Amino acid sequence: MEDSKFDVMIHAPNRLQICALLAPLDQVEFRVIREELGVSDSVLSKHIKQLEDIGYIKQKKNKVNGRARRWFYLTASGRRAFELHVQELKRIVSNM
Amino acid sequence: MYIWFPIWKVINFCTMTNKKHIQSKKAQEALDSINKIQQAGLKRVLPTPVWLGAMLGILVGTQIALLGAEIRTYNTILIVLILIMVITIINKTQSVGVVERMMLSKRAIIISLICIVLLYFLAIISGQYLNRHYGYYWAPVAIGAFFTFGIWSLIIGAYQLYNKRTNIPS
Repeated sequence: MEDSKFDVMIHAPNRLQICALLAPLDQVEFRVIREELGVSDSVLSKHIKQLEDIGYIKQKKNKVNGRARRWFYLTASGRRAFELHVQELKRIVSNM
Repeated sequence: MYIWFPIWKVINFCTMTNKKHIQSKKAQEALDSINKIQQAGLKRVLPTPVWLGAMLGILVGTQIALLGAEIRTYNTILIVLILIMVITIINKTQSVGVVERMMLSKRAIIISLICIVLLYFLAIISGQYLNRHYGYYWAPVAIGAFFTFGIWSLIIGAYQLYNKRTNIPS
């Protein structure tokens, strides 16, 4: 079993919530992430860009009812990093 | 110096304990926020409505029964209705903005689909065979009903699994 690891990139509140929202799902649309996090488009785009740059999430575009939509999903490395981060959080809590 | 040393140690220990306590509290808060948003995300996933699943099951079962009895008159209309059902289910999933993660691997999904298609044709062929050679007129109907029940059970199973994952009492 791999050791838990605290990931600074994931731990920022908005990025942590983005990863948490994507983790149990296959794909999530930009609109849904924005609604769940309660942030503006620009703030969300900034955090998504940071996660994309390190290869934790990816996006794909498609059209639903003629409208272009952006869908996001966790990559294998992003999923692994998130799992290790959660493990580390649990370890911190259980150590107290 | 001798007197102050242990006091420093005590102060240091208290500070460390306090820091640890704050860390632990923040970690717990982070874990709580993760659970909360995961539940919110899962609740957005709409399971295939039970009535839609039941209709799909009835349509597929009817088609198998009719083809088994070698009645092809309504085949085209049944195929069109089944396609409309499938498109409605896909469209409903797309419009909510979340797609649920499949528990099965891609390989398992492909194998399952191949098995379902094979079973579908096997059901039609066995219905035709039993009807033609043994005169069992009820056989295609029984096989069709069996398929309807199978699809219905799958939809109910998926629905209950969804409720379990999102902690909604059924």
